[in-house]
Amino acid sequence: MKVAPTLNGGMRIDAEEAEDWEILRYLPYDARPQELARHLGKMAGPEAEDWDELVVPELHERFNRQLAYVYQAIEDASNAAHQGPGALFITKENAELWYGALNQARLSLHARFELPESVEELIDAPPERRGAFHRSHFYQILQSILLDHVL
Amino acid sequence: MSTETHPLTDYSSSVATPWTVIVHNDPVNLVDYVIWVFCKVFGYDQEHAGALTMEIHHHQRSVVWTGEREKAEFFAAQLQEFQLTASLERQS
Repeated sequence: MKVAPTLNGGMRIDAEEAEDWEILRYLPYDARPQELARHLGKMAGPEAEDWDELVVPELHERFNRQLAYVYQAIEDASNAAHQGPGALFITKENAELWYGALNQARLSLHARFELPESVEELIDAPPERRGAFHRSHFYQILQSILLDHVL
Repeated sequence: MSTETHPLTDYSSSVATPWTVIVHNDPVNLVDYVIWVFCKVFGYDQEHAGALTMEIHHHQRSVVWTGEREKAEFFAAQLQEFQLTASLERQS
């Protein structure tokens, strides 16, 4: 897989084989929008009145929108490429949706697997935890490119 | 016996207590992203947004805005939309 900024201010992800699409498909499933909305709601503090009724449902809806968009973008691009080599384009207009979805996935993976700072700390870790670490790292690379070149 | 009435005037007044919006450190949100969010939500310049972000990084939290309650709630909700851990506190 190759990732690069585009000349028109966006970003492209080039899948080189079917496995690359499989890796991208993990993204919407790694996120937990409802848990994240609830967690943020709790963190607002005791003086944040009506947060659960007014703000948390809005957060949940927004996070769901990000994931639905990214899920469909991945499906459309992989279908257009017949699950083989092909490109997925992220425009400047949709970069926030992508960044949000990537962030949701990383927040969720860190919370669920208590991911460490470095891969050395995962030598004896179960494969699920190591996989979560590598996916989180991959999502972070995409986020960094979005931040540096698109947002 | 006179029955004069004396109007009572209460001169006491109260000043609304300011509210603060606080952002807490987390291991996921990238420094450049937090700066970008502060510029977008509050309209801060890069330098101020960067200083607040470094304060969060080093001290686990930072007061990023102070003012009236309604606006504080609005800003805290906006920061949460960008997935930052934000809370509201009445300034003591």
